[in-house]
Amino acid sequence: MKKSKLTLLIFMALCCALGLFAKKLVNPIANLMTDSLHIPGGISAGFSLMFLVIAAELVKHRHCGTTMGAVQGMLALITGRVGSMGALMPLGYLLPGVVIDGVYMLMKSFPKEERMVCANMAAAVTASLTANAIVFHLWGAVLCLYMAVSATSGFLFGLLGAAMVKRLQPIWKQM
Amino acid sequence: MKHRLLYGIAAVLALILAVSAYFHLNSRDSLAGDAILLQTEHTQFEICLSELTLQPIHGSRINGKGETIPVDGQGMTMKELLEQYQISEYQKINVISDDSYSAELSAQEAENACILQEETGVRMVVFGDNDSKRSVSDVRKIIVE
Repeated sequence: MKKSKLTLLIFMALCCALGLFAKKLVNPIANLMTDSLHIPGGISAGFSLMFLVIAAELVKHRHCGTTMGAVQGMLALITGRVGSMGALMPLGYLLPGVVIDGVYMLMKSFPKEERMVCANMAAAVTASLTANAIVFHLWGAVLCLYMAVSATSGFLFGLLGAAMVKRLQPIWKQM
Repeated sequence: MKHRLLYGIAAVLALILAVSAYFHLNSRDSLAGDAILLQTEHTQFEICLSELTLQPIHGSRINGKGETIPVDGQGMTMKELLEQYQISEYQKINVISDDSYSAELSAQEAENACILQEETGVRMVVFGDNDSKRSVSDVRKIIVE
């Protein structure tokens, strides 16, 4: 049975909100890890982007990531959660969304797990690169470590996302 | 083997993570307690702010959420700090925190920027800034150029 547009939009909105606010849940543990490595972040982005990747996998709409990234950026602006990025904050949400769509376009024929992990990893690295270009201005070994931590978090949360999709798919098919 | 690509990515990531962590953690300056390294082109000093004569600083700063936070503590302006170490000629100042976050100040801004002693370490606040970009917590290094 084909899902109604409203069902898809509600699911996408739910994933947008989860992605935006669930970051707070992992921040305390993420900060512990980044403090010990002496880097300014890079872990919670992988978790927050996992919800966009889950939506992209289930909704299977060509511009799902970009749309959700744009909505998240607007929500962040409206609710004043702009952080140090200021008015450029929407870019930090939009670019990872565009990258998720790009990876999904390139990896259509790959298994679901690989596609989700690669999309989450690429999106997390993009989010970190954007934050670095706008706020942190890191370079050398610390930038390399920051990127490696982001990619690893994207990888691990990508696997978690794939496991969640496996559980969600039977329910999704019934809807 | 199923998911060969994932195993390959995991191996490459683990290698990059280990190598970059090794280089980053070994390239850090070893400082005692909450000491700050003040570095100029020719020399460097290890500063312990609590050992300097501090004055009461009052004002406000903007945090990451855009809220105005009152600043009330002991500290000194960046200009005064540099003068204590006979540094008077400089173009810019780079303030770096423990997590490698950095903020740049021009010579003119050294009068508006304050170094404050906090319970958790040393913070730099630039009074008059309308965002949190240059509010640096846990300051560990000041590079004067």
